[in-house]
Amino acid sequence: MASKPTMVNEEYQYGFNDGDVSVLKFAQGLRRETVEEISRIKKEPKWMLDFRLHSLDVFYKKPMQHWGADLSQLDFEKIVYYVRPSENQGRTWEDVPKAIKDTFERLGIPEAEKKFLAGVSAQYESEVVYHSIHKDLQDKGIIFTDTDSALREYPELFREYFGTVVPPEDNKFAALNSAVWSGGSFVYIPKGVSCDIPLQAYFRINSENMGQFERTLIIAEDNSFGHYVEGCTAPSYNSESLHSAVVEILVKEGARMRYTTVQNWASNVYNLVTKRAVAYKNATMEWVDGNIGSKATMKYPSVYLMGEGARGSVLSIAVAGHNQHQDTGAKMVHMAPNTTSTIVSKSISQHGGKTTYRGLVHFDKSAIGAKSNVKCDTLLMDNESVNDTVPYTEVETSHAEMEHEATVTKVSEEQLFYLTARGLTEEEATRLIILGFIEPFTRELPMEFAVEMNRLIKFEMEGAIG
Amino acid sequence: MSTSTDVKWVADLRELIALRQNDPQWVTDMRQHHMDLLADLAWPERQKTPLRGRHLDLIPLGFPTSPSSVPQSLLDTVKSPAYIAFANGELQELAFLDDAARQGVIVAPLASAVTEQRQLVEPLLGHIMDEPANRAEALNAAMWDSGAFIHIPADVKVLSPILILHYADSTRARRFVPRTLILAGPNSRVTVIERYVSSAGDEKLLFTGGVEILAEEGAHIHYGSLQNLSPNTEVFIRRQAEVHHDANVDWSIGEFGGGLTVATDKTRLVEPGAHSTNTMVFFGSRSQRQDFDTRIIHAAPHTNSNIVAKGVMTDRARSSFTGVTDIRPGAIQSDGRQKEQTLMLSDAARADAVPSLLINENDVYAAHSASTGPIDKVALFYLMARGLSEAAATRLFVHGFLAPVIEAIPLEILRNSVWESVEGKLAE
Repeated sequence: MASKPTMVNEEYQYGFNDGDVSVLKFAQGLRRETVEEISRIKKEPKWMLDFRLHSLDVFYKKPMQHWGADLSQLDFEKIVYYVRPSENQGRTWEDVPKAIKDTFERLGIPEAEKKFLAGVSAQYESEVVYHSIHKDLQDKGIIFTDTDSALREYPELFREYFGTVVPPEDNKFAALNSAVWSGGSFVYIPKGVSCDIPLQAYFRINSENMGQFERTLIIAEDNSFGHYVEGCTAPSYNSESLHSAVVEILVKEGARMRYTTVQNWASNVYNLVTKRAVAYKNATMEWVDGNIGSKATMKYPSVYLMGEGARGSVLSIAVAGHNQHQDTGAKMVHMAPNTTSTIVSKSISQHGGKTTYRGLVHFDKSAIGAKSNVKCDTLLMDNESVNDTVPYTEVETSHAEMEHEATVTKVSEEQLFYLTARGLTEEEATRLIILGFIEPFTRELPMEFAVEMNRLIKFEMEGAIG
Repeated sequence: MSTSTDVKWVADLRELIALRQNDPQWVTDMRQHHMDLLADLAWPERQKTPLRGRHLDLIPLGFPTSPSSVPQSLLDTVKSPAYIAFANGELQELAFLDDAARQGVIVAPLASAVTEQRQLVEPLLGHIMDEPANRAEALNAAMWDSGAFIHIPADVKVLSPILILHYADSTRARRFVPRTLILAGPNSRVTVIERYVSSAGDEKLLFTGGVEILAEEGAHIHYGSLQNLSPNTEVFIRRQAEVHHDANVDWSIGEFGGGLTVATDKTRLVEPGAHSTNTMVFFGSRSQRQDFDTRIIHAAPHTNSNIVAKGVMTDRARSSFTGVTDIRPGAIQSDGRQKEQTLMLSDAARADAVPSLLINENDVYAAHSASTGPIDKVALFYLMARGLSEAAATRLFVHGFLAPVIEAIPLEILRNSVWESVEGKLAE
């Protein structure tokens, strides 16, 4: 074949920026005073200040991890830890400052809301500026608000669960987030309540060198159902930005929770995220996770299957282009009998990009009758691109079954030939094969996101055939 | 890093090297060089198999090894047209086909080959293997005693297998340091089987073994290894091969014995058309700790590899299997596969696996699969309903599980020994 089908890394599509609109912006660097100041501005209770300061100590003590993506260029002293874009939280769409509104218009948020979304909670930099929730969901007792408001308005509920799934001691970046967290979503679904339409939040990093440390806490009570959708876009900048979120989810007995992420960070963002759920008896937790963009991503959504019959699934795709490393995967920790888990991972490396699948399936002694199935597939688009598949399995019982499969291939020449023989150009054929490759993922997205996903993949590929 | 115990330890070993009067100067220099490295190198670090608490440094390696002999019953298992047997580090028996010798085939103790076959041995010994990266590897490089040098000249096909037996009597030795070097010339064929056996004892015995294989253009080597060391033996073994143009190295490895086993297998496919399969069977029982790191490196186009590992875990045994298929840039049209299966017979046992693919080239095929699970309850019920005891049904099931890999071993003598080892484990 004369030319190889490759995907071109387009200039970042949402790479506009709005100029600096923020009201309050901290100097760079992380000190005790920074943390105290964040807590003071937010008028937090003392326990939260203590939690933050303890977390800061943990952060200082923990060494940088030496595995995974290369974080040697990341300088904690050059990160701005708090930016507050406007004085007041927008009550209605009209109150939102115009420059910010313009950004959202370009991302298509109002339309999204008009169509079918239950609530839109759009995070612009560190504070949630616009927030709404559908009336009938509110009537059902569902709480969907930003995390800062939740701390003020539901202090007891908040304190009971906050930091219980991902303690600051978990890893260095969880400690960092715990010290300087700001914004994020808080979702509470009461017993037996089904939230039929997805709850949605958009996140966006705008200022240069700004870390974004949102903190999301989701509690699904017994026999409830919810679907939380998070989309991320960020403008391009030349020096490194840091996104280090923590997501904690509790799925109680018989409940089902789905968390969908479509992420498209600009190519200078370090995306180091701890996402973890605990699933109790007969509960189901599903992560649907799409990673496109960023400079380096380290993200391993996990489910701790704590109760009998709990189910966990991770369905993810990762696309890495030039100078990008997607070090992603999943963790399933089976701690109870008859728990089941499924991991499906699809990776695409192009233009010298690197994808790594790094996963863990653990069967504890008590995981009698547990089952896990893991499947990882990778497409390498050119001979400069790299994939590593590193699946860890730990089995401590003779009553559990684990299966794992992985393949690494290029775009099949037979498929290409078949499609081009039917009149498609090589570019069209390649695109079709790739969309087919990730179809198991896009199939699970809300329709609007599936469209966006396919569009993003197409942008990534345009003009690819040289 | 070095402590006063280390200093004493190293001094003792240096004395032992000085006593080896038959070594040529270049070997003495090589041993001294590795002895210099020794004190600064740590024991191997394996994520899942911590070695702290095994007190390896307290094993008195300087303890003088006194002569012993291989029990006759054991010797009978290797009697074949070509075999070489060592007891406590010294050559006991060497039998060799006359016509093989006429064709220029060399089977000799490595300790004498370093002098008699210097022009062949010197460029290879320690050069196919990586420079020692830990204390166990440096110990082998500095202290090796038993072991064979095998050379098959170009175009010679050796039909009957060459057997190497290593035996240590742990009442008379604290160290067990074999080293084997195999050179297969262009278009040659050979099968080599190495067995390691030690007698049970109360004192700990440190085993650190090394195997180096060079397969020149078009050569076919089948290398089998069966390890039945006693539970008081702490086992470190490293096997490395370099495979050239259209050559083939097939490994059949059986790891059954030892209290601790840390094995490193590395095959480099360095020229187009090189091919390697690595078949491993392991069986962990009682409180055994086993850690396997098996990797195949595709450094040239059109290279193929396949790693197949089957393990059975029972009692309180723990195993960790890391398989790595590493396809380097430029290794186009290569095919690398892995399959790992573990059968869990006990709830107190533990098995970890990391079957990894490191892929730096897109015009390739790479795949792996891994599975872990218990005995199929339905199958067990079926067998017991037909009158088999649970033990007999389990035994039959284990046989069925391992048969696809053991029966694939082309050599009857090795196949039978592996089955015997499995039986021995099941009877424990």
